[in-house]
Amino acid sequence: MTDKSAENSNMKFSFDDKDLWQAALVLQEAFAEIQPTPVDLEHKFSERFSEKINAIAGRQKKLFTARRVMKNIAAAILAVLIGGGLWLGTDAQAQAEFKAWLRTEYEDSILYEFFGKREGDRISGVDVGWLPEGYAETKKLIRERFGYYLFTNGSGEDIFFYYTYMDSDTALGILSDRSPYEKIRVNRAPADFYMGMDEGEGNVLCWFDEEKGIAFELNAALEKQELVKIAESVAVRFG
Amino acid sequence: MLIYLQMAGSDEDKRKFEQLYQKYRWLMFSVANQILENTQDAEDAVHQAFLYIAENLHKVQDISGSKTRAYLVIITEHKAIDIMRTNAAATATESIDTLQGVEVHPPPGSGLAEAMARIPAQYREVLLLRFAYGYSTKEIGKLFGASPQNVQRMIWRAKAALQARLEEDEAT
Repeated sequence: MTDKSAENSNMKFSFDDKDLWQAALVLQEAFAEIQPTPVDLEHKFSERFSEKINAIAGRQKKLFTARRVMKNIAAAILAVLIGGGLWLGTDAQAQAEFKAWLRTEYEDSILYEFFGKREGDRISGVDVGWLPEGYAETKKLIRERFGYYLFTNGSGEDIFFYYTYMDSDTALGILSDRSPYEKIRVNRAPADFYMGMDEGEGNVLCWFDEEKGIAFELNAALEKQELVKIAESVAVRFG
Repeated sequence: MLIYLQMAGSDEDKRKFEQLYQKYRWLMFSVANQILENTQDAEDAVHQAFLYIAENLHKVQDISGSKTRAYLVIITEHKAIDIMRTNAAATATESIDTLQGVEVHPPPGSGLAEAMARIPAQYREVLLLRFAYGYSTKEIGKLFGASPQNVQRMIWRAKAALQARLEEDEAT
């Protein structure tokens, strides 16, 4: 180490980026020599841990379809179609026993994943009993396991409504930078409310009808009370 | 109007992730446990590390190489310290900025590398990611939850910490 820059002229030891690069490579090798302790090598990972790792592994093979609703709903939503079963054969038993849904925070999204096979009648459509004044249905897509509706008012403001079966073939995602969320209830169903963090970003309400095995999502620049009112007016048609 | 975006994880990525998990989970757990001294928190740190790795698989080339092994240790250390920071904030205890990371021993006489091994963990991580892994300030910022400008400031602080460490070593 020598005096290599005017910036370093007042420092007793001087180093430049090349020195740092060389030192970092030496330290990198030292990091690579770290070994797990014998006690830690015996550690038996918890079922909870295995479930979460399964969720990541499963995510690696998913086909993500993201929809970004324009204008007032800047927050994007992910609808996820999973291509097959989850990974990690060693944890297959735990996976088979885990009939529930799991919420995982990723760097830029929240993912709700469902486990087990939904049993129940096929959804043929959804009726939304209440909407704020001026909104009307402008788009609709119904598929076997999921569907969405778009409602728009005269100012071009949107309400996006999505539903999906809760089973291993589907998942529900929200593009979000881990904004705080509030656990609430829609009728008696558990629900999560996400407040949009940026100007123009919509609020999101997700709720889960565990009895019927259906997850719902609303995304709109509306107050929480309005979203809940819409959610509570939703009626599912079967057959 | 709706915009559709598709991102498909390839089979190669899936295999890579699986191999990393099978090969390194106990090492990563051990690193996290050394810092957190709590097995549940350590598992959380390993989970967070794997989440990060899953989204940055392109950074991993040779599964068995020392560069990859060191990378996983560094990311796990970072996530463990993140959890420690969260726990410390909850209990309003000590400052985390001076926290030392996992113990590491570069060869004696390696000078700057020895000093780098003993500066606070977050500075050490910034320097390693920047210089050993070629991370941009934006990439480091994403990991640290900081802007590129703040990362640049962290790099300068890391260099100052290194300078102080060298001076302290000479004095003793």
